[in-house]
Parts: sequence; C-alpha cells; structure tokens
Amino acid sequence: MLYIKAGSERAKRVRLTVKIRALGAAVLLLGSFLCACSRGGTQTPSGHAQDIAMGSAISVNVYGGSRDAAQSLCTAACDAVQALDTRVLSKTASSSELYRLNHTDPAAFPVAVSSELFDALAETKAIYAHSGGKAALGCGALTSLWGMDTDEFRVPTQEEIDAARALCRDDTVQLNAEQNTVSFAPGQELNLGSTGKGLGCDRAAQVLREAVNAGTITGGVVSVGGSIATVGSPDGTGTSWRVGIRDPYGTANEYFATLTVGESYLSTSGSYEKQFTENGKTYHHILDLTTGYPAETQLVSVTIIAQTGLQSDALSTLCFLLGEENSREVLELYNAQAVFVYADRTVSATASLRDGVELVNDAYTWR
Amino acid sequence: MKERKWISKADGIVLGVLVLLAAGFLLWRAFTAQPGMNAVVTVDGEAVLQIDLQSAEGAQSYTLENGVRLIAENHTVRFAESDCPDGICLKTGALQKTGDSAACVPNRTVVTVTGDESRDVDVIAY
Repeated sequence: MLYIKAGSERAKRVRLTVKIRALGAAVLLLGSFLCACSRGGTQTPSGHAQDIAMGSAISVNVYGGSRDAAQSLCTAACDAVQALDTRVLSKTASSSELYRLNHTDPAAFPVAVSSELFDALAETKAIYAHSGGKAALGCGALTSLWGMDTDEFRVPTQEEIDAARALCRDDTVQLNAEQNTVSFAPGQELNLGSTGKGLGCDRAAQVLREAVNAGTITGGVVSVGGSIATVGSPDGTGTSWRVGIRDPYGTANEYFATLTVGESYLSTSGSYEKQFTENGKTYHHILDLTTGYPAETQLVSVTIIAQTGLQSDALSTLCFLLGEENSREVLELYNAQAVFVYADRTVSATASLRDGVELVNDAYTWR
Repeated sequence: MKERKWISKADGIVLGVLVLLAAGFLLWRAFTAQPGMNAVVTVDGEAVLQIDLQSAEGAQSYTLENGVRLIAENHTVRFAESDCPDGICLKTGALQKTGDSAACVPNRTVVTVTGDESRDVDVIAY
C-alpha cells in the first residue's frame, strides 16, 4: 500500500473521497431499507377496477404511474371488455352482433359481419378443427339445451341430445374471409362462450399495452372470468408476474401452484366450474360434442399459456377435451404451454414450462 | 503533527441529520399508512361501498340497494344474502387476504379485498 504523508494535499483529497463514498453508502443503505419497508413481495397496484362482463367477474390492476391515470386506465380496460361483450360476442343479449347473426333467417345467408366478429369466428373454428369433432364453433344448440349459456342447468333427454348433436358441427359453417360473410345450416347456433373471455383479455391487454408503451404505467394484469393477461412488468424493470392456478378442490381464492411468467395470456378450463347436480350425479360445463354430455376424463383442469387470449381460452377447452397425449400436436402448432391436473391431484406440464411451475399445496405431486 | 480524524464534527452532523430524516420518514409512514385492508364493493363497476376490514371485529352487516347483504367480521368479509339462483357468491365464503374476491354475477356485484399487505401471487387463473 502506498504511504501518503499525513496533512499533505493528497491526503486531504483521499480523506474527502473516502468520506463521500462512505456517505454515499450510508444513503444507499438507508434508501434500500426504506424501500424494503414500503412494499412486500409483490407491488401494490396503482389502480384497480372490477366489474361484471361475459357472465363473470372481470378485474384490472395496473402498476406504476400516477393514481389518477392508473385508475382511468383500469376503467378504460374494463369498458373495452364490456363493449366487446354487449356489442359483439354475447349469445344472449340482443344488442350483440353474434345474437343477431344467430337470429338471422337462414334464407338471408350468407350475411356480412364485422371483421372483429369474423376474425373471432374464424380463429375459434380453426382451433376446434383439431378436436376430432369434440368441440365446434357451431355448438350452440347443445350449450343452449343444457342451459350453459344462461346458467339455468338441466339434464336433457337422450332424444333432445341426439337432435341437438346433429346440429353441432362445423362442416356446415361457411366463413368467407374475402367478404367477411357467414352462413350455416338452419337450426345451428354459433357460440363463442369458450373463447370470449380470452378475446376480452386481448382487448383489455391492448389498452394496457398502449399505456405501457406511452410510459403512463409500467404494467398491468387483467382477469376476465379467470382468463388472464399480463402486460409489461410490475416495476418497469422486467420483473416477472406470479400467477396462481386455482385449486380445483379448493375455494375460488385458493391456488395449488404458481406460475412465473413474463407478458403472457393464460386460461384455465376446469370441471369444478359451473357444476350442477341432478339426481345425485354431478355435471360440469365442458361438453364433448361426440357424446353430447360433459366430457368424461381423468383431468380436473387444464391451464394454457399462449400467444393471445383467444388462443389460450380455446386451447384450454380443447386440451381438456383431448387429454394430455392428444394435445401435444396442437400445443406445438400454436406454440403454447400447458399444465394438466388430474383427479388424483397429480400434475404434469409441457417440458419448457415445468421449471416455471411451483406446487405450493402439499396435496399435489408431479406425475 | 496532530493526527486527523476520519470523521470530523461536520461529518457527524451530516450523518446525524440523515439518520433523523430516515427515522422521521419511518414514523410518518407508520402513522399515515393506509389501514392494511379494505373491502371494495362495486355494482356495475361503480364503487358503492368500502369496508375497513382492519378495524372490523364484531359482525357488521351491510345491505346494498340491490338487496345483496354482506357481513364483515374478524377482518374478513363475505356474501351473506343474495336472491341469485346459483348462490355461487354465498359459497365463495369469507374473503380474508389481499386480492381475495367474490362476485354475484346476477346482481352484478363484486367484492375484492385490497391492501398494502404483500401477496404471493398477482392474480389467480381459474
């Protein structure tokens, strides 16, 4: 070490440098201590909005930015979902384009629809083309029969099911992409019930995406009836989001696993949702069109991470119906990941997702 | 020659002021921090009620204009009465942690617990 003569100009400079560094360190230490005290493991949202749309609860949380801006963004994102539902997708509200399409006199076919509705119909039909007839865009006759659209559930007679099943197919649904026209067979009903929530996530995420790009917020989380979109990051530094997957055997606010994700779209299809019991038998809401009854499967839930909300929503229903083995091809095709949960509380996940999944409930084990 | 100290009197004063500022800030936070937990109640997206769950101990009942009745008790809140056909809101049970939520779709009512408390997850997929 170099000897410096005490009292020299050089020694004074060194002392000053050391003091400045020490003070800097003290300030940094205090600063980080204060930061650590002011928030927990995840950030506190700067804005929150919640509402009812698409027959379920929707919520938006955003992070960063001013409270006023954050709050109005949350409202705007909720409104985007609400508008999509009442204006385009609802199967039961007479204000929606899909309702009008389903109530069009078949003699008038083909009819032109908005590109927004057309794209939703075309993409849903394309994904369900991989179902081997288990799912279809034109499944409305059966979902109506079971009361799935209005939550007035009942078990239909076999005759009713056979009659409705004959109408639930997509080879009679004609979509002309050049003219945005649609036609289908008399008696058929198109249904976007299994993709609408995902599409709602897409719309709300678009609102948040623009705000993140403009620097108004750092990120946000959308839930449309449990279908999720994560945009940006909680603190603007690329920190991941943590998403819980609902415990199929727990209450609505319990989760058995957590997923660490960046910007993504997630949807879960589970037999625990919209269940009803008649004559001692419990029925869930995911219909297999090849039988006309709720799917018989060892799965209790499937969670998908995909490139868009519509895709994650449609794929979660599709993969629930297909089972893990038969889902591989379509998951690869759409560059999607999945978590499968079985009735015996065993869990499996596609290879690249496995490391991002943490089982937080001891009752669940990997398969 | 007299040995110079690494920390002079002036340095001590600066450090002391810093420590005092920090202590003051912490005290200010402790007294002005929002009460840990609130239940936010919305009907059709409009906030109609906010319940301070931090101080909710004995059972307190709240009836909304749409007839839905909520009960706050022991720092939790739950749907206690609703005329909806499915009763899903009643089955959801007591909400106790930040982020917990329950909804009555037919009555267009949503209840969510908000607060400063850290959450393990940002959202739940279901």
